[in-house]
Amino acid sequence: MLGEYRDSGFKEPPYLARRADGQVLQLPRLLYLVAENADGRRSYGQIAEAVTEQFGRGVSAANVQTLVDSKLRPLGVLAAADGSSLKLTRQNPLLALNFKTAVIPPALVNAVTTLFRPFFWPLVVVVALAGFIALDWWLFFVHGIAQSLRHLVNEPVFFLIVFGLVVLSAALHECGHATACRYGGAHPGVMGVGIYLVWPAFYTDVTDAYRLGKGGRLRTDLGGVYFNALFMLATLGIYLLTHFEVLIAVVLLLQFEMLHQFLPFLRLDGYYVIADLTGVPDIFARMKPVLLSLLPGRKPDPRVTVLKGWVRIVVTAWVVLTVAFILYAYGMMLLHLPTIVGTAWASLLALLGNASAAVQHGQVAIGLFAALQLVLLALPILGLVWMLVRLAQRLVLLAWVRTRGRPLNRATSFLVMAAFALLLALAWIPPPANYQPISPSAHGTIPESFDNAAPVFNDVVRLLPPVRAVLPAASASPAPSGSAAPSPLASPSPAASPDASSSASASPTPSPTPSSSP
Amino acid sequence: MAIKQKTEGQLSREELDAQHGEQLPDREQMSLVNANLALPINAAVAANVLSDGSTAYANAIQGTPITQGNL
Repeated sequence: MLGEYRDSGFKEPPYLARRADGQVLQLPRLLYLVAENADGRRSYGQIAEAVTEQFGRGVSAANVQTLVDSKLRPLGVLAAADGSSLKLTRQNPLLALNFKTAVIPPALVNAVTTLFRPFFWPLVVVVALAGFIALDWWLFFVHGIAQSLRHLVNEPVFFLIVFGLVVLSAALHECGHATACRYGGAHPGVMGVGIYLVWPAFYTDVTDAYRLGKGGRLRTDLGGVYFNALFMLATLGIYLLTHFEVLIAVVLLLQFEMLHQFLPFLRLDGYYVIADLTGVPDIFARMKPVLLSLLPGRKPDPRVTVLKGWVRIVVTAWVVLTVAFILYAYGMMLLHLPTIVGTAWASLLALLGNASAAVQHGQVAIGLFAALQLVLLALPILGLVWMLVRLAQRLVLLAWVRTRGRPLNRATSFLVMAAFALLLALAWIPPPANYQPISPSAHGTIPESFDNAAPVFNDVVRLLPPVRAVLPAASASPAPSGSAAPSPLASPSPAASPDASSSASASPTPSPTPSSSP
Repeated sequence: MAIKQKTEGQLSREELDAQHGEQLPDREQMSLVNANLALPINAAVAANVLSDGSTAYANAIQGTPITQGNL
């Protein structure tokens, strides 16, 4: 039993408990009190007496038995009288880390946090933050970044050094989370690796940080980027000693990574900062109730009304922005998949050529760099495919289970899914799908992404006469079957996401991540 | 034992039904290895910071035709 969830955004603060399998549960106060008093020795009557005193309301033995049988045992908080418990299932949350592999056990993580603990002493934090501000000022207003990038472009072998240091910094980022978690009084768990959406990722299990107050939780969230800042200061120190310009490129790249971490729409540091500032531990789980509560004439969901007024406003704004971001980003990624695949394939061939030429000429470092880029190229594509397969599985399963005994609902669900499958088929089967790399003239702007998706929607309209009747303007579009987009902004090949286009079109080397941002 | 209505010293069925526990996801704080090393370099090239003289390559498209010839 972990106690009250402190500084919460709820009108009635919830309580936290942790099951034997590590799953953390959020409980209302009454359930928590019953669970806390059910020590296996007391009778229902004795538990009721204790709970009545603590809760301030009359709770009968029958009430306790009902709560135990219908609430606490199904959740796995309490076992049956004979010691048996129900088969426990763990949540599989939306947009969570996949292919998790624990690498460093908790004991070793604990030892590491002991080593790094002094970095969270207040004076050290103040000095480090002042140093980081000075670093940025010096980098962007005094020293500049041109020479470091010139070195990097002229000697691609340095990319290996840069990549190694970026990975090292990412590992230290995790040490920052773990140390901050422990500094606040919680116990960090394992550290490991996994794939987050399409990116390889390091992770640290700081689930125990739920028990901390707002300050401790925020420290845990920001500990990672704080350690990135420390790493940059150390890199700058080495630069001042050696004047090795490539180190400045490392500092520059880490600034981008730091900003990336604050993206609030995925489960990155920025998301946890919002969750902890509002005091709502799982905002993603509130997406559906928040959206349903926005429908006109619909009574707000209790999972929304339990939130404090200002928290409800912030959470609603976050949900609306996140849904818009995810629908746009993933929708465009799916519709532009042929271009992404085409670009990745062209990059793959170029990299293979580079690697073999380098090996033939005995240039091991360049060969290694090309091999590394091949891995970085393959991982996002594999991650994307995995994500699609898993999403399809989940949707089919959900539609099947939720519509049990309701054939009309079941038919509607599968009809909607079939319509989406048709849309994707039209986007992916040539023509109009064009498996060509991103063209040099593509801009990758948001308007262009919509324009390039137009042929797919025109084909849908063409295939479905009833829709054509409703949308005469769309059906009157001069797009002949299999042609490119009729838009004046259309490029010879459809553009992928803005990131993909920018990196591939101006990159001095084939881009390792043709589809970086989802 | 079924509870039909609220009586003195105990909670009603509705109050009991309103008690919901929920699972919280594990907190896995991540750092992504998104080493798109080309990105800042492209930005820098586009911003012309790499040019020693006046040459810059940043996906610029020649929009105006140039006519060359001997006068």
